Amino acid sequence: MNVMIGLEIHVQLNTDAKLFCTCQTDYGHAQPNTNICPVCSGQPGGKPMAPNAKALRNALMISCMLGARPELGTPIFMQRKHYFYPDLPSGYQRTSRPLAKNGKFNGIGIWEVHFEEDPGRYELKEGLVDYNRSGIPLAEIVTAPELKTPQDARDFLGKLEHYLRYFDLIKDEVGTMRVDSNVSIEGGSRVEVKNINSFSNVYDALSFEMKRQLTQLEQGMPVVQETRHFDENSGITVRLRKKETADDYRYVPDPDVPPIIVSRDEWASVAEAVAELPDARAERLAKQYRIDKGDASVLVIEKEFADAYESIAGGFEAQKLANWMRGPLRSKLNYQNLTFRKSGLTAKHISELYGMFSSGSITDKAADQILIRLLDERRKEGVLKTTPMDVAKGSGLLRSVDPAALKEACGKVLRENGKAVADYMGGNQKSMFFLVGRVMGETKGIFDAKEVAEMLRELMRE
Amino acid sequence: MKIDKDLVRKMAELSRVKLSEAEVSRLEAEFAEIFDYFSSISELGSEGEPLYYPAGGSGGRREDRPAKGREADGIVAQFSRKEGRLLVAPKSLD
Amino acid sequence: MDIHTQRISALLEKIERENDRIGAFIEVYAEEAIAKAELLDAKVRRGGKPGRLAGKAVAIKNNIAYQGKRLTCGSKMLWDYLAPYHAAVVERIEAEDGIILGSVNLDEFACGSDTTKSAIMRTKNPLDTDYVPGGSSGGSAASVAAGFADISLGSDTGGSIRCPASFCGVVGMKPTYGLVSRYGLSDMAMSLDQIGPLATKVADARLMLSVIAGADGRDQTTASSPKNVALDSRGKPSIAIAKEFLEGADPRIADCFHSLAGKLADRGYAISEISIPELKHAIPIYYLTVFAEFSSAMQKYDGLRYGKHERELENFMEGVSELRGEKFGLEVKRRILLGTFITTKEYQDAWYGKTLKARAVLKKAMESALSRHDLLLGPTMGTLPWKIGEKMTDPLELYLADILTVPANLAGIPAGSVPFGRIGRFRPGMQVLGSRFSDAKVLALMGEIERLDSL
Repeated sequence: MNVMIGLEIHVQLNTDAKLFCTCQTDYGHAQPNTNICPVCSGQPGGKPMAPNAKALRNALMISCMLGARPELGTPIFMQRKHYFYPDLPSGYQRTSRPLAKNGKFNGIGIWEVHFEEDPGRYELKEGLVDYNRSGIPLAEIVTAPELKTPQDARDFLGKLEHYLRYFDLIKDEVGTMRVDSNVSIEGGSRVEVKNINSFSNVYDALSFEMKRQLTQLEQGMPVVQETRHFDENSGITVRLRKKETADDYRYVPDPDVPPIIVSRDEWASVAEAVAELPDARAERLAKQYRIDKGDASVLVIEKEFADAYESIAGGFEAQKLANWMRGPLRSKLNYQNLTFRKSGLTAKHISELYGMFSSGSITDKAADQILIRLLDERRKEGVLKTTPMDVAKGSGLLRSVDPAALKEACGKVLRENGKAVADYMGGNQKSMFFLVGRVMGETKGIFDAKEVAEMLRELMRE
Repeated sequence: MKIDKDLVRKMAELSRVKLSEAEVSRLEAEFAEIFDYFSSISELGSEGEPLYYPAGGSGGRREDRPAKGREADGIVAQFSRKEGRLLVAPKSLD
Repeated sequence: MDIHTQRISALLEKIERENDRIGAFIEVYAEEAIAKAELLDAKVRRGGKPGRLAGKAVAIKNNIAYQGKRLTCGSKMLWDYLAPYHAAVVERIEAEDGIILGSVNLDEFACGSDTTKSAIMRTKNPLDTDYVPGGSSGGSAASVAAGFADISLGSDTGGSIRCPASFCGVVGMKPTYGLVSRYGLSDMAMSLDQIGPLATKVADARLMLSVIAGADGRDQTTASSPKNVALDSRGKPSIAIAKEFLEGADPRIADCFHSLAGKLADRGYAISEISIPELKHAIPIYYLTVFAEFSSAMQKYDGLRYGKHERELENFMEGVSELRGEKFGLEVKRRILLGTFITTKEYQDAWYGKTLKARAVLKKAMESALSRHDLLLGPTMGTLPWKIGEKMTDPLELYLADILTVPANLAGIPAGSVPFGRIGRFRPGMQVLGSRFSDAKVLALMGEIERLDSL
C-alpha cells in the first residue's frame, strides 16, 4: 500500500525570556496572566523587541542537527499569519520565513525549519485564557511526506526528541512538543490531522486515520481532502467544522521586525556546537573505550551523562564503569523520574561513589543507598552539598585504617607510575583519578579516596 | 475583477466585520470607484524588489535575559471579563 | 504659587472655559498636571536643574498611551480602555519636566483627514469654528492653535500632522521614519506611522523633537537612529520644487507659495524646478499600503482584552463580527475590508505585491531627487480647510486630499509644515522635505520661512 505521511512538529525552545519581549517563559507554574506585557498581550501600541538570541541559536542548532542549511547572508523576513482566536492576542501570529531547508533525519527528508511565537493557552471547555504562554519561541520542523507507517512516525519522533533534549534545545513542559500530520494513502487526497499533543499520541492518531481512510476506499468512497482533529480521549479523528479551518491566513511581511541574516561565522559556531550527534558519539564511545554498543547508546541518552562518563573513564575499567552507570545509576534516576542533568550529580560524585564501590570499600547495596540519599537531598533542598564519602562515613558504610599502611601503598603506586605522576605535575588533573584508583585497587578499597588523594599529593610534594 | 455585493460580503466575513445591507450597498459602489482609480498600479511592471522593511537594515539579536515587567496587573484590569486573573472567553467558537 | 503652577492652572482654566467650543481635549489630566507643576516649582526652588521641557504644557494625541488614562484612539471600540503603560515618548517628555495636560481628539484610529471621523467628539478649527481643523491629528493642531498647550504630539501616516498644522495655521513636523520610537503608539500603518510635534513656533517643535527622538530597544525600527539627537544645522541648503507638487493646487495657495519661493531666492537660496513623475502613483501606493497594514493592525479587536463592552459574546466568531461591525466607524470598516481583500491569496500578488514594488521605486525616485538637492519645497495642502460636514460622502475625494503629504511617508523622509502668508482667516502651510535623518536641515529652513513670514 502506498502511504505518505508527513509531520509538522512544533517545539518550544528552551529560553528564559520570550521571543519578542522580556517576559519570563514560565507558564506551567506561574499564576495566570502574570508573565505578560504590552507586547505579548497585544496591547494597542505594543511593538516587538529584537528577537531572542538564544531562541535563534537553538533554532539554528535544530536546523543543523537535522542536516538542513540556511542561505547564509540572505535576509529572512518575519511574517504575520492572521486568524481570530481567543488565545491569539494580536489576531496574528509572527512566524518566520524558512530558516533552513533540505535536511535529512533518520532517513526522512526535512523540508524546512522556521521559528514563530506560541499563542496563549485557551481552555475551550472552561472558556478561560492565559497569556503567559503567548510569545514563547517555537521552532517548527516540516518533514517530507516520506514516512510510511505509524511506527515510522513514532520512531522518527522518538529519535527527534532524544536529539532535541540531548542538546538542551527545548523546554520541559506539558505541550512542549506538538505534532500536526498529513496522511494520504494510495495516492489519494491528503488529510491533515491536527492537535496531536504528545509524541505518544501520534501512533494512535495515525493508526486510526489510516484505518479510516482504508475503510473509506474499501467501501468505494473517495477520501475527502480536509482537516481533522485528533481526540485523545476517544482515540479517533473527527472532521473539523469548516469555519475552524481558516483557508487564508493572509501572510504579509511584518514591517515592525527587521529581517534576520545568518552569517558564516554564526553558522560555523552552530555547527561546532552540534558537531558530534548522539549516534555518532555512541559509536565513538564503543570504539574508543571498547565498550558494548548497547551500553554506549545508554550513555548517550543525555549529553551530560556521556560527558561524565568520558571525564572519569580513564580512572577505571571502562566497561565495568559503563555497566554501573547504565545499570544501577541510570535505573535510580529513572525510578525517581529524574534526568542526570537535573539530578545535581556531577562526574566527581560518580567517580567518588563508583571508586568506593569498585575498590570494594562499599558494597553494591551501600552504593545504591548512597545514591538514593544524594538524589533525595537534591530533591528536597534543591541543591546537592553532601558528597558520597560524607554519606558513607556518616552511615558507617566505610572502613578506615592505619596511616602508615596508607603511606606505604601510596609510595608504591607513585614509584610504579612515573608517567601518571609526570602528567599530574604537568597539570593534568585527570591523572589523580588514575592514581587514586590504583591505590584503591592495591589496597582492596579499605581507604577513603579523599585521604588517598591527600596522601598522594603530600608525597608528590616531597 | 468584479466588485459586487457578494465580494463585499465575503470580505466582510473574512475580516469578521458584520455589515448592514445598507453598508454593503454603499461599499459596493465605493470599492468599485476606489479600485478603478487605484488600478493604475497595475500599469507598473513586476520587476524590482518589494520594499518589505522600509526602516532598512537587518536585525540584531537580544540577549536571553528576562525582566520582571510591572504592567501585568494593569493589563488584566482591562480584560472585558475575567475570573480571578484568567480572561473569560466564549465557550462556543462558532 | 510659583510660576509653573500658576501658568498650568491658568491653562487648565482656559481649557475648562473654551474646550467645549473647540473640542480639542478628550480628557484633561488636571490633577496630575498641577501636581507635576508643583513638583517642578519645588525642584527649581531648591536649585535643582530643570529639564529641557520644563514648564512646557503638552497635549498628546489620544492614540499615544498614557498609563492609567483613556486610550480611545477616537473609537467606540476603545471607549472604556485605560492604557496599562506609558508610551516611550511620554516617558521622555516627563523625564524632561514637560507637563502633559491631557489627550486630544483624532479621527478614529487615525483614519481621516479632517477629524470628523472621531467617534468621541467633534473638533473645530480655532481660526474659524465652522471649518475642519484637518486630520487625523485635529485635536493636536487645535489645542496648540487655541493656546491650550505650548506643544502637542500628533502622529503622521500620510499627512496627519502636517495637514492639520496647515489648516490650523501652526507648525507641524513629521520626523524621519524610525527617528522617534513608536512604542505606545497605536498602529495605523506600521511602515508609515511616525510621532511628531506641533507648535506655534518652529523652535518649540525642534525642542520637542530633540527630546522624543532617539533609538529605543522597544521599537526595532529606531535601530538606525542615534541614541540622542542634536538638531542644529548651518548653511544654506539647495532647494528643489517638484512641479507635481503644484498641479491642481488652489491658485491662492500657489500664489503664497510662489511668493515664498521668490523671497527665498532673494535671500540667496539656490532654487531649481524638477519633476518626479513617479509621484503620480503616490496615492494608490499609499492607500493600498495603508489598507493592508491597517487591517492587520485591527485584527486584535475581538472585544476580549481592551475594556468592557455592554454585551457579552456568546459565540466567538459571530460575536466578534457583530462587535466589530458595531464599534468600528465606516471609514475604519472600509479600510479593513479593502486591506483584507488585497492580502488574500488570490489577489495579493496583483495588488499588495505590486504595491510593495512600486513603493520601492517611488522611494528611490525621492532619494535620487534629494541626492541632487538638499531639500524639496512645496505647499503642504493643495486645498484650504473645508467646512465641517462638507466632504462627508465620497471617501476617494478625501483620499486625494493627501496627495502632497503621502510621498514623505512612503519614502520614510522628514517633512514639516510651517505657515506662510494669509488667505482670509487661514494661513496656508508650506512643506519642507529632506533626505532621511536630515531633520535638522528641514527644521532650519522651516525656521527661515517662519522668519520670512513675519517680515
